[in-house]
Amino acid sequence: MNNLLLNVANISLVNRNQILKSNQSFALKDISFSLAENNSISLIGDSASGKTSLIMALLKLKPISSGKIFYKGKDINLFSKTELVQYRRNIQPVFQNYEESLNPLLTIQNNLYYGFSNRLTKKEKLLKLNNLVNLMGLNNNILSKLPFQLSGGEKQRITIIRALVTEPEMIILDEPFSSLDVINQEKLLAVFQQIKSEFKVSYIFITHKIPLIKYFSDSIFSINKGKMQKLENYRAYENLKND
Amino acid sequence: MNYKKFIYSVLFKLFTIFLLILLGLILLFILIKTIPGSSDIKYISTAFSLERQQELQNIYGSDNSPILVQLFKWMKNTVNFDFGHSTQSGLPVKQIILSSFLPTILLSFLAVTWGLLIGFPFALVSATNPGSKRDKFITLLMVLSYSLPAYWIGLFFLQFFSYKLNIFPSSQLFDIPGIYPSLFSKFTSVLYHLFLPSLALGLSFAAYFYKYLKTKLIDILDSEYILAAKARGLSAKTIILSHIIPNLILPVLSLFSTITPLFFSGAVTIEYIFSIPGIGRTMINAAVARDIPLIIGGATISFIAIMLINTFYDILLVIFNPKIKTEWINETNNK
Amino acid sequence: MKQIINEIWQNRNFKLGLILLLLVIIFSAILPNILPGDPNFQNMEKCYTKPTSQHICGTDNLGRDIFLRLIHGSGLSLKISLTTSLFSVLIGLTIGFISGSSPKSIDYILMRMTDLFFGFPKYFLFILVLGFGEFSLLKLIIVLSIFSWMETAKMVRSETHYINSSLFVKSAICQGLSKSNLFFIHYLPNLAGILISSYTLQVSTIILVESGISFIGLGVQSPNISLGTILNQARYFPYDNYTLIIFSGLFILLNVSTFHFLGDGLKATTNKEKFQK
Repeated sequence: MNNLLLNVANISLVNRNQILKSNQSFALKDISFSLAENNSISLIGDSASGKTSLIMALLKLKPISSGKIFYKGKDINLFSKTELVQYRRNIQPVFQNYEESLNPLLTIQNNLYYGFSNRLTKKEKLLKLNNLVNLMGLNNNILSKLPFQLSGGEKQRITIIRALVTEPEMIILDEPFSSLDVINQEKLLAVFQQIKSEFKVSYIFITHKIPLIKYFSDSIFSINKGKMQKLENYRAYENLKND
Repeated sequence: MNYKKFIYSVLFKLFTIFLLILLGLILLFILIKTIPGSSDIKYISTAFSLERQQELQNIYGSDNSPILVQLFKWMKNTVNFDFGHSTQSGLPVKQIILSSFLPTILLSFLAVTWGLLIGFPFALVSATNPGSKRDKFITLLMVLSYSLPAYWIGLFFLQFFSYKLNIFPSSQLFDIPGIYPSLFSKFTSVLYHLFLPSLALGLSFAAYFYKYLKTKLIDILDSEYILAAKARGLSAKTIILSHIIPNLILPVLSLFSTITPLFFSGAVTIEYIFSIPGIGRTMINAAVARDIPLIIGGATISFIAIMLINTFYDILLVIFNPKIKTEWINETNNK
Repeated sequence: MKQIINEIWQNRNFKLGLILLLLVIIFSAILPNILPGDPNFQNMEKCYTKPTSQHICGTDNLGRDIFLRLIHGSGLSLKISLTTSLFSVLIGLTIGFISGSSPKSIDYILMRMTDLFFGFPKYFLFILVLGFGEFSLLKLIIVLSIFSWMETAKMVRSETHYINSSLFVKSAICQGLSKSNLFFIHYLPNLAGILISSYTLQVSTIILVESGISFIGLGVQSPNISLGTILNQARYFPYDNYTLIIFSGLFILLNVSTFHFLGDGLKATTNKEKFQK
């Protein structure tokens, strides 16, 4: 029996500036799903579907209006400060907009370095950092560069490295393939699979490139206008879209 | 249009201003307390006889009461505009301050007019020819206007036009008070006397107006709205009159609302030099004479006046700008 | 980093400001310390003289050398302005940052307080606080900074809002960065640009305000000299003698415009668009 990492139960999120209105509009409505250890789930949804709100809710960057989110059985709303930090470091986001995901004034090294656990010495941190850089197929001299000197693909890989710095149990991938051509998609796919086997992470994989989700789908959901629906397999999405 | 919401937000705004004025008065009170010798604020002029002073002391009460009571008393007096009597002349502070407002307002009003008369045309030229030699020259001129303090310009004018060339009078509002037969001659005398001071003050405003108007003008001129008008072949004059100027009303209003405090206290140095009997000079003389009630009264009344005028501008802005209206409504809802 | 410095270097306003700054340093910081002579030394036999080889800018109504007075006064004015602006920017940074990182209600309250301070009649309050009691430089600096932090606060607040919504800050929060780490590593570098340009422009404003207060006699007191106190003597000059006015005007012009150009140059090169390449 796999351990349940994440259990999302009936969460809803109301758009903030309409709290006082009578007919509120929901960013998320009554969403439930769960993520077990070593499993991955895929969410299919396009831009206005509420996926960003879901990511923010999971990261506890946005408060939910109702429902609960459980991490390893505990309600994340009741976390103490240290428990919250622990939780956050275990569920790392890789945002779709990698252009703006890096602090433009810091070197790549400084962008990544401060995320390492404080138990490590400086030497250990740098060693791990270099290993991750090599793992992603990048040259070590990229660490001393500034974000604007990197290509789009390099920046994306840096944001993936950043997600790995805290050695998380879960990684949320928000549309990682959207701006890549087929060849690079394959390459990135291979990287994700390598990460999964080496670091034993569970993915929450959000995309609308249907053919790719078969690699990350112990469960598949579709999200649309804030509502979520479980699907049998990815082909079921085609039928759903036609409704 | 949802008027109920709008009225509600106006009321909320007024309530906020009221709270702010209260807060401001408390801060003023704290500042007053830093003045040595203000703890026994004697609202009693030494011009009165000792007996009368004793009488008034009994009326106004002793000032050894706890600080919150003092604060409350002071606020109550402020609301009634009772600031006691000036220690210099024995006249009630309220009367002195209120009668000094007029020259200052006149001076500032003329100065703002000069500032616009100088700043706007330059801004127009700069905005229509950005980067040109003219633009660079004007920018340099404006640096002069910005860097030279108003009182320096005033002193220079005084020395050159007044003393040396004798074209303009050097002080006061009237040559000899009381000799003017008609309102009109009084009026012209005042304008004549205020010409140099207001020009000096206006020149120092000109740089700010220029910078602000230039930015706004560039925005307006770049807008497609104007391009369309040009494409329709409208003459420059029509464009300026019917398209550009209406778009400037709002920015100019908000510009005025930012310089309201300067309206009162910015003229201080100019009034000092030219001996204009406005509130600035009154305050300076009060400082020299250690006339505490007058200074407190002047600062407080000016503060309240500024806050009220700013509220007035805010409401005007809302009437003219539907965008701000929605902002206000959103603000109130989010509170 | 180097890229940024390069761009700042290229800006014409900044370059002009640097050249002028050199002059300012020479006149206000170096010369007062190397030139002999007491700026307060009175020589009644030589009042109101025009510029001579002995007195480059002539003498004033009490026979004091105007040039010496100007360089010492300029030095003190600058010292006061540089310190005041520092305090002012620090206050503005604190209030602006707190306001920008707080929930809407606290943000609203702080912004209304900023409006309140904008609404005070500055010069009257200076008269109120400085007109009585003993004069102290510290009091002057404190009072000046209390009424000049507002612009900085507004800018810092809007910049903080912007940084708050950025993805790299969100990611940093997700990595569990402590609040102070977040501030120094992520916020401060992004705020540094507006802080520095705000500081420089503030200096030019404060020079004007301080000289205004000193001019009416409430600022720097003798034997200390400020540009404003020197100008006070100009009222008593014979109408043919323009030496004091012209030279003091030149000094004020130099000081204020230097920081104005520097600040404008910095402002133009440190705005956000630069980094959205």
